[in-house]
Amino acid sequence: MSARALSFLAARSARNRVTSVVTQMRSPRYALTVLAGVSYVALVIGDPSHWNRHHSPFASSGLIQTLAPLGVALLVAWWWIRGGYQRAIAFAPAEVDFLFPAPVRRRTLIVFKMLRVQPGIIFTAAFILFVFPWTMALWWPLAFLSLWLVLTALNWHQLAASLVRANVAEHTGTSAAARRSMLPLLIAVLALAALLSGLVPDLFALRGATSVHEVMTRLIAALHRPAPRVVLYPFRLLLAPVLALDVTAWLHALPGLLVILALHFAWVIRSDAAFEEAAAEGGRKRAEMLANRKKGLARYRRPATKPATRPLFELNATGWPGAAMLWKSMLEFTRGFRPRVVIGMAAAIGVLLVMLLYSTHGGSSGADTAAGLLAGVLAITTLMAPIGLRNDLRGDLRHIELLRTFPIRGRDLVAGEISGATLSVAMIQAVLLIVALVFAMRGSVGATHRGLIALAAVLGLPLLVTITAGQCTILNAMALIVPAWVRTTADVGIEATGQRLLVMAGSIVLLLLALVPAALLGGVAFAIAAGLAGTRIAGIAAGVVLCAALWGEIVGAWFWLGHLYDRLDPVEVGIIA
Amino acid sequence: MLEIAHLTKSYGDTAAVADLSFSVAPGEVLGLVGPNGAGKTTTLRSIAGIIRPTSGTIRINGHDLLTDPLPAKAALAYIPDEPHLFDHLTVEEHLRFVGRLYGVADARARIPALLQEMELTERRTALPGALSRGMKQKLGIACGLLHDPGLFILDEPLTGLDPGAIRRMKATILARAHAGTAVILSSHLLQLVEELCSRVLVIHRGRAVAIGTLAEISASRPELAGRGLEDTFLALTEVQPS
Repeated sequence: MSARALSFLAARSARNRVTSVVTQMRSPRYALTVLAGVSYVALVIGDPSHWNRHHSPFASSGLIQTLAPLGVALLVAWWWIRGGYQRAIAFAPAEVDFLFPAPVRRRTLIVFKMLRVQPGIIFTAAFILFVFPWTMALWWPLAFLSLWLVLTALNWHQLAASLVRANVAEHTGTSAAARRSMLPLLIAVLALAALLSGLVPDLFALRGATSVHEVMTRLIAALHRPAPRVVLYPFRLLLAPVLALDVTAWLHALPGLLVILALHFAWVIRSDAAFEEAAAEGGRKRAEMLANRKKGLARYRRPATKPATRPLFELNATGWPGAAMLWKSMLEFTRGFRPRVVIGMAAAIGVLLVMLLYSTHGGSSGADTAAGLLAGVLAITTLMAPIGLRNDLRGDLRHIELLRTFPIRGRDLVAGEISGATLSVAMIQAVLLIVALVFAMRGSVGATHRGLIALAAVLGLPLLVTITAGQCTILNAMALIVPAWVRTTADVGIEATGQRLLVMAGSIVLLLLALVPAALLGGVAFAIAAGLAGTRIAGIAAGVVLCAALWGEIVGAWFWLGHLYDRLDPVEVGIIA
Repeated sequence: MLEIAHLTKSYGDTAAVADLSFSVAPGEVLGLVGPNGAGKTTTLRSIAGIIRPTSGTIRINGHDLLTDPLPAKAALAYIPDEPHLFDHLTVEEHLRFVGRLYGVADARARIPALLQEMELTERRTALPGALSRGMKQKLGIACGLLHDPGLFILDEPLTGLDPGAIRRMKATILARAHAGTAVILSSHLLQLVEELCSRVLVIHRGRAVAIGTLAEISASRPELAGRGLEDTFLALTEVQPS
C-alpha cells in the first residue's frame, strides 16, 4: 500500500513539474531562454566532430583505462572517510514530515530513495556523454547504457556507505551493530592504505622526470604494481564496459558490472540502519542550500556562520552614503570568497603551468608560455568574473524592501554597488597582471620589448578596471531593466543555461558597443600624440583617453540607472510579492 | 509626523489600496489591522517608500515622500515581518552600515547601548547565518532604531521572539512612543494591538473601514458597543452573505 502511495508521489511530482515547465513556456522570456538553451545543445550535438569518437586518440591511449579506476577509487575512499554521508541519504523536508511518521517500512523508503535519484543519474550520464565524448570509444547508446549502470552502482555504493556511517553514528560503543558497521569502514581504510603504500614510493621518484610524458609513463607503471592492481581490480571491473574499445570487449565486460550492481542492490536494501535522523539533517541542509541558491547569491553555499574576518577598510560614520554600499560589497567579496575555490583555481593554473613548463623544458620560452597563459586567464577573468561575482545590485535586489527605505539617492546606491563589484574583480586582476608581468619580464618579450611591458604595467590595470566597471554597469542595468531574469539566474535546467548564455552574450555585445566611441577617441588621441611625441607617449595618451571616455559613459549610465532604480516598483516587476 | 491623503495603489484594474487617508501624531501608536489581502503591506510599503503610490500624497515629518524622499526617509524606520540582513555583515557591522547611510555621526557611541537593549552584545561579531530567527528580528529592529526615527513602522514585529523578548519588545515600542516617536504597528495579534495602540485603523479590501480608539469605533457603530477588538474586527471585516 505504501509503495503505491510513494509511486503516486513520484509520478504526480514529475507530471506537475513537466506541466509547470510547459505552462511557463507561454512567457516569451522563458520561451526565449529555453530556445537559446536548446539551440546551444543542438549546435554542439549537430557538430559531427563532437561525436567522432572512433578516432579519439585519448579513448584508446590506455591512459584513461589506467587512471579512471584510480580516480573512482579515490572518490569512493572519500565517501567512506570524509564525505558528507547525510547528503547521500537526504530526504526532502516534506518527505521527512510526511513519510517518516507514516507507517512505511525503512526498506520501502530506501527503495524509494534509490529510484527517485534515477532521473538525476540518467541526466548525469547524458551530460558526461555530451561533454566528454572523446573519453569513450563505444557506439553512443552502449556508452550511455554503461555510464548509466556505472553511475547507478556508484550511487548505491554511496548510499550504502552513508547507511553504514549513519549506523556507526547511531550505535556508538561496542554493540554488535556498531562492530558490524565498522567492518566495511575498516575494509575501506585498509584498501586505501594498501593503494597509497603501493603508490607513494613511485610518486616520490616522479621528481626526477623531465617531461609530462615521462611523469605519466611512470605513474601508469606504478599503478600496475601488485598492491595497486589488487585494490583497483573492482574499480577496473566496474568501469570496464564504459572504457571498452569495441562491442566484443563491452559484451565481455558487462557481466562484471551487472554482478557489482546486483551485490550493491542487495547490500543497500538489507541494511537495517536507522538513517532517519541523518536523512532529515541532510535534507534540511540541502533545502537550506537550495533556498540560498534561489536567492541568487550563494549557489551551493550554506549561510556563513564562521567568525567574520576584518573588513579591508573601516567605514566612517559620515560621508558619501554610496561608500556604505561599496564597503558592504567588498565585505561580501572578501568573506564570501571560499578558499577552496581560490586554491582550486590556483591549482588548476599551477598544473597547466607546470605541464606547459615541462613541455618546454623551462627557460625563457617557458616564461613566455606562462605569461601567455596568465594573460589568457586574465582576459577570461575580466570577461567572466563580473558575471560570476554578484556582490552588487544583482545580489541585493532581494533586499530591495530594505534598500528602498534608506535615505540614499538611486545614483549613489548604484555607484556604490557597482564600484564594490568592480574593485572586487580588480583585486583578482591585479594579482594575475603582476604575476603575468613577472613571467613576461623573465621571458624573451621582457628582453626585447621592455617598453611594451612598462606600458602594460602602467596602463594594464586601469584599462582592465575600466572594462570591468563597464561590464558590471551593463549587468546591473540588465538586472534593473529585466529583474525577473536576475532572480532565476541561479536556477538549473536548459532554460537557465539559455538565460545565462543570453545574459553573457548580451553583456559582451553591449560592452563592445560601449567600447566603440571610447576606442575611436583613443584612436584620435593616438594619431595626434604620435605626430607630436612618438608612439610610446601616443600609446599612453590613447589609453588614458580611452579610459576617460569609457568612464564618462559609465558615470552617465550610473545616473540613468539611479533614476531607473528610484522609479522601480518592485512588486510590479515581480521582485517581491 | 505622518499625513496620508487619498493614497491609492493599483495594479492594473485591481486597487490594492483605495483612497486611504489618515495621520499619525508624534507619540501615537497606530494599530493597522485587516484580514489577509486587505492592503496592509501595500500601505506600509507605500509609506516606507518601497513602492510608489498610483495617486495621493504621503508626508513624513513635513516632507513629501515622492518629491522630497531623502529627508522623509531619513525620518522613518521600517521593520518588515521577515528581517532582511546581509549575509556577510556581522551584527555590529550592520549597525555601522546603517549608521553611515543615515549619517548618524555618533553611531559608534550609540551602538553598544542599542546592542545591550536588544540583548545582542554577546553576538555582535556574529554573522546572520549564526543567529536565530528572533535574534535576526532584534537586529532588524536595532538597525531601525539607530537613527532615532520620528516614524517607526513595524510589520508583525513579534514574529519569532520568545516570551521574554516579546515583553521587552513591547516595552521598547512604548518607550519610543513616550519619547515622541510615531509608531505604526501592523499585526494579526489583536490582543497586542489592543494592548499597545492608542488608535486602530481597520482596512478591508484596500479601504479604511474604521479608524480611531476602540471607544470611538464602537460609538460610531452602536451594535459594537462594549465589544473587544476581536469582535469589532470580525464585525467590520466579515463578508456579509448577500
